[in-house]
Amino acid sequence: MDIAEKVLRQKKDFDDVYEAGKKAEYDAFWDGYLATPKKTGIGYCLFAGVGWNENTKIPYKIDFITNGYNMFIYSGNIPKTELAKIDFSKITTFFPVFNYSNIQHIPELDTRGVSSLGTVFAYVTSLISIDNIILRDDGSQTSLNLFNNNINLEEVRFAGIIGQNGFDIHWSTKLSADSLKSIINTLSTTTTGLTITLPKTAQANYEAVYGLSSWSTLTATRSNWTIAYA
Amino acid sequence: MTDERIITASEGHMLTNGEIYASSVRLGDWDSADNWHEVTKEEYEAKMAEMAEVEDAIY
Repeated sequence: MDIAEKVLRQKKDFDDVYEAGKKAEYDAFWDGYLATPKKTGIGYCLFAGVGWNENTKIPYKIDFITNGYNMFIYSGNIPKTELAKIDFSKITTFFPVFNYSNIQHIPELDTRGVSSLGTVFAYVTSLISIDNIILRDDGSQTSLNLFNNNINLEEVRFAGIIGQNGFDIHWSTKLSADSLKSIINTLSTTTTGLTITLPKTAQANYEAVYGLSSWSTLTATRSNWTIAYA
Repeated sequence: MTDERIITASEGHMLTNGEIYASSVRLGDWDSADNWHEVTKEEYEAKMAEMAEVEDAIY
């Protein structure tokens, strides 16, 4: 090996040690930061504040949170791909989770562990899409006022059943036709005495895609619900 | 909307059933226009302001 090769080998060795040192520091930060939430399950303010943003890189799956209260309050726009590393299915307490954050796109949320959902997305005026909100199949979940002031929400899908009062998404005037279809199709077919609140733009948004009278046809499948337009 | 089970608030008013406020309502099979009454937009806005104060206290 000549001198040049030796120097290059030494540089590579140095770079490898440097990168390993950086990774060790990086892992130490995350292991330390998540040590208490891992033990307690409390995700309170875990990603609160603008310091958590488009540059955030979550290093591994976070699947130990059981209390998501204020978990993303005032956060920056954390990418959907990073949010997808968080397993929400073990959470039993929601209430405001994403309130006041600047997040734009949220991946699938499994909410089946939560009995009373609360104002999960309150005042996330930046929010544009939620891939899928998985509700319980028995329609038992209450406090369905998840969408307070989500004025830019366009796409949302649901699985499971909406079977209680209180679902109000009237702030979201930009909801797509398929989002509206998902909401209506998620309404329980077996309950009575319940009311849902939709934006005044619902019919126009839906019929712009599916044609005249299509909204009446769709909503007729849930004649057991009163639909309020606000 | 052409559905006969639709009720609409008159100009300058909102409909309410005591809990929910709306500009128009498609009544469910179980519901009746008698369950809804009109309030003025001013009363509606005052109610919304009251609710916003409660929310501010929560958040």
